[in-house]
Amino acid sequence: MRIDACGLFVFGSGTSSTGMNMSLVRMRGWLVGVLVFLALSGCRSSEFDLEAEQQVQEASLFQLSEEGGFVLPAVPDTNPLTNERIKLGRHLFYDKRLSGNQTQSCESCHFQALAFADGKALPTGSTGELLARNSQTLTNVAYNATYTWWNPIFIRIEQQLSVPLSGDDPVELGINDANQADVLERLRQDARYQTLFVEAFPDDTEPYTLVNVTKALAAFTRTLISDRSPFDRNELTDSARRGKALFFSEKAECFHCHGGFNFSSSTVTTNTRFAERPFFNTGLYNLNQNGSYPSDNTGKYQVTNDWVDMGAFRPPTLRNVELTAPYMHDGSIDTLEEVVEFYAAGGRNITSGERAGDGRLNPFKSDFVSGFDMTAQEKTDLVNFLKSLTDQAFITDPRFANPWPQESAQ
Amino acid sequence: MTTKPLIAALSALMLVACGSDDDSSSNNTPNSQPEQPTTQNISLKFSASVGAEAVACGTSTTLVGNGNGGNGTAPDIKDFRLYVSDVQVATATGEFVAVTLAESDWQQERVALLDFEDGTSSCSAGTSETRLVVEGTAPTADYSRVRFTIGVPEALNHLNQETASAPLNIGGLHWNWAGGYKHARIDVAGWNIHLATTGCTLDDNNENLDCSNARPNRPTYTLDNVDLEDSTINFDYAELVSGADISTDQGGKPGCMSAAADPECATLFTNLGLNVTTGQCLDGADGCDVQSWVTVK
Repeated sequence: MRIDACGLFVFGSGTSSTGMNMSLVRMRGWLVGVLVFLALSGCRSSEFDLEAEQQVQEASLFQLSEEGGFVLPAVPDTNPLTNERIKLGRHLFYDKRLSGNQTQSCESCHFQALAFADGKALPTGSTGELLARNSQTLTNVAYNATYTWWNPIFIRIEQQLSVPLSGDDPVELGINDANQADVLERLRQDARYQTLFVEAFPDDTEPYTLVNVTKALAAFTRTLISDRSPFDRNELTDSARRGKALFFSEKAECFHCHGGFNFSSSTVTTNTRFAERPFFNTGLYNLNQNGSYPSDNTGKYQVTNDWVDMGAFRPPTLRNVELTAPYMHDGSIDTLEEVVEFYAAGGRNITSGERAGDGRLNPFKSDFVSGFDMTAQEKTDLVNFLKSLTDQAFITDPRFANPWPQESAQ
Repeated sequence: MTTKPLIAALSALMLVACGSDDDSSSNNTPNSQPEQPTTQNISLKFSASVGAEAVACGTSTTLVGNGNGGNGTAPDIKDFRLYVSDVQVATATGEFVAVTLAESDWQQERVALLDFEDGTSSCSAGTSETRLVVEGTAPTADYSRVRFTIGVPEALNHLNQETASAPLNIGGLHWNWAGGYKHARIDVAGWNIHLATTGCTLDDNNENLDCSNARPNRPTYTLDNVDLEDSTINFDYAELVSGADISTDQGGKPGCMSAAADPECATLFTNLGLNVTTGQCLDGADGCDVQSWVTVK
């Protein structure tokens, strides 16, 4: 049923500014026409085959719960999911040797106990540089329609991973041209990896590559499925039940951007045929009274330079949102209660300082962030519903935990 | 899936289509005439400088730009690498002909890398190897003009960069967030220049990268009076940042990230001979030769 809700959203909402020409892709004959056009115009074809038979059958480490009822995520043809890749990726995820100076791992900004967020407004990279955006939860990241907060062209985890691994502005894990060989050599010298890499990439004569590191990390993170919350088990308190009704109401409008089984309209599955990859401006800022966001955080605009995309960010999943404070792309709202107040106000009015401006009047703000009146009890109910998306099984699942201490204790 | 072979076939077609530029350089010798036209080796020498001072990793002594109350700033060089493509030569009065690039770790059929940083000092994130030359062949003639484009050609700009062959597999020159390469990476401490194609987004079916409305940001330069034996083509950082303040971040990332709205890009793009809004040469089809940072020495 929740899948249907998602489908309804995907097909019927029309909220995306990205648009799509359904008539072009509906028929196979038309599809050929589109492909010819693409081939001739773009010199590039998709590696992302949503119709492909899923590449997850061999991977028993990837599990969906019955009560969640999720459809399988789309996995690129170039990186089929196997237990061996998942296992390697899990070891790499928790390994500080993967950073240039061996001070950070992926986990340094993605703690399992916090649903793989880090509890900070803004994280700091391995060489001390402050990042501009909040560490996102990795909850159900396999389903993201796009990756990162702002970039519309990252449509696979494998693409996104280049940012934490080798991004240089700012530096995160800090793998660069000078140290890459050293980083890979550290892995090659580890007896455990000698088994893990060979098993994960049995056809490769040289498995210790950044490409394979990326594939393994993508495989592991695709298994981070959260679908065992009280909401999934239909174990809602009375307050949460009232909050659910508000969440899906036209009064609060939450579901327009956070709808579907993953509570994000930026979601694709193997059932998706017309992928939406939406971004929204929620009225957090309005610098210079012209709709501007702070220059280091302009959202999708940074890629398109189109003002309609100013301040437009990807709507994240709300699953485990109780655990992922502080909120928004820049961590600028501390608590869930304040987030509800923010949306009730229809944006944020900053009255002084260099970020002064009335975000409620941002000309690029989504129509769905128009504000609402709610009683204190209703707001509490809404927050309690959001807390029903907290998945204790997910944050304590040993499949996702650090594999190193227990193994080295042997 | 019936579309897969189709995609493969189309990819093949597409590669042929994308590679067709090079056909212009081949010689149509009739079968009845067994004698092959003679070719000569072409070796174009390049250098990089800060004014009169050769570029070296670490702090330069030459003051550049208009920061510090107009006195300029001594740049601390961190990176200086750029891709070159569509290399052509011409005699004083003849048509331009393509230079067939010699394939090596530094060069592919359609693109060559120039690398002026040696991984020392401030360039510690770079590579120890350097490359100051573009090598290839052209039909024998008395060439005195050179034309080339800075940048990775569009047909190669969206490869899987991790599996692409050298020199398109260098991490520091990937610009993944924009779906391509840095055509040129010229970084000094606190002020980075990443010249790259910007504005690629997904096409209408939301699956494939579409750069048809992007800003290519690939300047083409034509240089006269080149002596292939003795001349060196020089990139002068002082001219590149002339009129810019490299000591101050005016917004966004420090320096210019090839965005029209980046306040630091306007002056820089003018110095490159590029229109910052369209990413095309200021001279339109004639090239980007309203510039003084690339000269023949």
